[in-house]
Amino acid sequence: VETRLHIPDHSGLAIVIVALLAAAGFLLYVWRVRGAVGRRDQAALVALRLVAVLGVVVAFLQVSVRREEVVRRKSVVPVLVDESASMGVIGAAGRTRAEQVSRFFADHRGWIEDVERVHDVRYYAFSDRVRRVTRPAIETGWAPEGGATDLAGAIEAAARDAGPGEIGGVLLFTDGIDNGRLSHGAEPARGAAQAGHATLADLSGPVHAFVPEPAERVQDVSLSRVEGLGYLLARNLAEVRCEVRAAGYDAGELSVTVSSWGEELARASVAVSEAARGATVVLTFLPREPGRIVLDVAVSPLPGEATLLNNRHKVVVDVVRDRLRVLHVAGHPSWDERFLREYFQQRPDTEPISFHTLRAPDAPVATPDDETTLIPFPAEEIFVRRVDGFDLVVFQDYDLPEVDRDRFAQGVSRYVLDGGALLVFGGSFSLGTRGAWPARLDSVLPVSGPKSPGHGMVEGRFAAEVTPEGARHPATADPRIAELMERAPPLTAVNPVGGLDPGAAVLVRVSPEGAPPAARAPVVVASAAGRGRVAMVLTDTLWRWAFDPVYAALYRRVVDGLVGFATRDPSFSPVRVVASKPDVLPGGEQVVTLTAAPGVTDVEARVQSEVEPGRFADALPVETLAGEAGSRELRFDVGDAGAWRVVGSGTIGAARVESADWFVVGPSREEVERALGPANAAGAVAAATGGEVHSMDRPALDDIELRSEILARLGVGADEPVWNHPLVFAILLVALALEWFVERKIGYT
Amino acid sequence: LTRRRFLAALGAAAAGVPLALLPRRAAGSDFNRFRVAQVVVGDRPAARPTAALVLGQEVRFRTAVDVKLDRVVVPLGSRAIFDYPFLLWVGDGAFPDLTPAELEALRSFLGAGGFILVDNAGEGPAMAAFDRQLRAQLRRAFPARSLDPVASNHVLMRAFYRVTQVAGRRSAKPVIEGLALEHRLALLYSMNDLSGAWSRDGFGNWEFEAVPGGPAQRESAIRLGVNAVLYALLLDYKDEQAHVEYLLKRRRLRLEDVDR
Repeated sequence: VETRLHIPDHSGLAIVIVALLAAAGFLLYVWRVRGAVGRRDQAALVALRLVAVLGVVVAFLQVSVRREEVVRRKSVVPVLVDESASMGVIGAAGRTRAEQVSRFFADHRGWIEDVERVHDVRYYAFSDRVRRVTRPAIETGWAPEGGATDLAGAIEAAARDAGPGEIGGVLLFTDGIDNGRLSHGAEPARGAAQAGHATLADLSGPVHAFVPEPAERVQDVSLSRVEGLGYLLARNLAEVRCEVRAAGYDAGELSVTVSSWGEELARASVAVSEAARGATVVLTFLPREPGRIVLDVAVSPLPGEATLLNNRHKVVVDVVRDRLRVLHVAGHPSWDERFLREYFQQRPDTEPISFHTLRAPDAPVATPDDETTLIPFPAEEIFVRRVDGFDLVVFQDYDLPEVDRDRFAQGVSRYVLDGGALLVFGGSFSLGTRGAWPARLDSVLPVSGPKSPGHGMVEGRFAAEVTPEGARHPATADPRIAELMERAPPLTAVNPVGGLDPGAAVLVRVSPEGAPPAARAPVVVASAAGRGRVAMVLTDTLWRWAFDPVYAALYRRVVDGLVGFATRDPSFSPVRVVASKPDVLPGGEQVVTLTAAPGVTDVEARVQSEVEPGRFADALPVETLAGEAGSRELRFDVGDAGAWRVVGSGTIGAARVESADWFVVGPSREEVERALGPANAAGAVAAATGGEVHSMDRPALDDIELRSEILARLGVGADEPVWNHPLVFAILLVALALEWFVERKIGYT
Repeated sequence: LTRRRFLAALGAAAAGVPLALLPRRAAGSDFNRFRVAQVVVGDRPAARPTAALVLGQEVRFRTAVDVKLDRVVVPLGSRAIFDYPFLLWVGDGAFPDLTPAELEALRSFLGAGGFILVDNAGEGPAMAAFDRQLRAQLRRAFPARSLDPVASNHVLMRAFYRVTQVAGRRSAKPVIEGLALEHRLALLYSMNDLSGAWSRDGFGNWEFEAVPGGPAQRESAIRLGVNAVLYALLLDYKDEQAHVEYLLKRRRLRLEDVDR
């Protein structure tokens, strides 16, 4: 129990008025008696008046004696250990910064135990978030993998955990490379000073920072800047510019690569001597398909590097399609060609490039070339050299040129197998109707040739219908297609084909009007071929729908679906997953939206991490979407650094469909880029709180001052007023009476 | 369905080629091959009855278009016009006002992507009467559109041949007019009796002299007809960059020849 004088609350104005009046009255009295009486009498009168004034003031302030119950306890000393990725940088004596922390705790166990005896010591590891740890764990050490460093956030969290005013001091073990709120860019010191007013200045104890010793000679190779990865255009040459820096090495060769899923897309070399001055390396490659990809830009490591963090830049990149570049090749001008051409011209997102054979080689009327506008067909250019530049290749009633057919077929097949999109429309000039089946394209076509080629198309009146498989297929799942097709004008010619390839799906079939169901034949077939997709329309009479004001919509929907399927348009995927953040710090939260179209069942999402380049394993339990269709938001905390993917899948009939999205887990760019930078923030934080910075190798432990105890007031035992004590009035009366008596005695009136 | 066809269907299905034995096989789809169909209005007989066939023949002989050579005449107001996206309308005199059904068919046909080549084959007052009535009916069908001269550098003039002279059996008007819908010419109108230049008699001889240019003028008329067919089938194909670049570089095409 503690006893102390207590003055109840008065308004400030009242206290000021009373104080001024008391002082004025007292000074007036002093002025009056000055020179009127002897020095000794003057002193006696002033003293007596002072006692009287004080008595009045005490009475006014209502002073009391307060007895309080208080508790004195150990102050809280948070020990904050930085576990951000930059603590993995190798420092003095070949030890990482994290190893230096562990070694400090092992070497100074006695001092720490002394601190524990006097204070309530709590251990935390922090990066961009804070977690409790134990001293033995710190002594043992762990791999620092935190994605960012937020010193102020860590101190604030520890202070909050301790409670207001409980902090006796903070022991902060860090490399001082902050990229949290103290930094706000490039100036940690200024940030700390500003934040000191808020977080640090409110701290009830000093922050003593312990920083690791740097290596005497830093050796490092880094990608200091990587540009050109904001977004890439599909089938446009992508150019990635990297600045490679090398420090502490004299000679050697560095390889810079850009790869995706373990497949190297581009490689360049740079000499260490050039990198010492900062060399710019340009890597070019061709992103083939639109969508998200994870690109890994890396520079080869050299022995003894301080850190490998900055040798690699892994990033999720959106490959977007500016416009759908369509190569439209037709064997001859026809209505089917004309309406498809008009379809592509009307789509605002396409850029068709057409080559149509306008003159038959055996045309009876020959005209000098100068009088026509015919141009040679650049087969070599478009089928071999530039085919990769197209998002979609359309063959319409077209067979590859006889001369060099093998090479051209090889070019087209490779284009498809590498991820290209091929749309083949039949007709009376191609697909074995007048000659041989294009067997050289068999590796990518979803159907085989007719058993007896060369006998033309099959003519008649064919009613078309969407197959059950077609009703579930993204290209023709639109229910309006089936609805319109039921009443659509009949198709009048069909290309006969042989069998279907495994994996091929018949989306639309036809049957002659009045024929039994067994006479159905495929007319729209789709399949995947390697990484590409192929769709075939086995007729040249779809234009009859396009030219009908009622069924033009059916034509558009069918061709839209086929183009969307072949070019992997995400909007044609019945199941979609979208990760909200392309990159997440280790341990951070990711939000994924899983959406399923009507008719899709058993929808689930798998969150997977890359266990080796291109191979993924489930990292979290599988999440399912209740009901058939709809959307669900999944929230989860990610784990280790690396590439992650979310795979959404569902069932349509007997088929399983899926789509995927990607994100990268790893430290922030600031954490990586400043890993070797100066430890500005540690000193700034210590200075802002009255603490000091110590080297972990040579700490001045005796100089470290911490608030030893915290006084906590539990409650008021009693308040005994003194202002109304009779003694106060007695003293006041005696003082006034004595003053009156002395004045009379010395003759002062 | 006959028993034979039913059995054939079952057999074909079992063989995996279900349609192979069913309907007849043809090198080209007859329904799908290009035809020049002649359209008639009201009860007027088709003028220049051989012209459509000859134009089709010339297109077949000169280009890669797969043409079916038969004579087809369809009334403008019939649903049959939607089987033939290219129509030749030859007028040789006044014709009655289009009925509402004909007007609607004309609008639908052209709006859906069809193409009509209108040829004024009339002489003197008959020519003027057809011209007047055609323009009046087009104004009724497309009040916001008009027939405008087709520029000499329009892609129509480069669709297959480089056409520099616009003429038919006669050379009454040095330009051809067109009605544009959504950036394409949907209707062409010639006052030069193109069909007269194309007409042959039963022995294959030219039915009329081309005046004043003779055979060269007839050849120009045929080339213009071929270009009209190719334009209907290819639209602005010859305006594509690859073609224009090549033609500018190799074929002495001048920039002013290209409407870009």
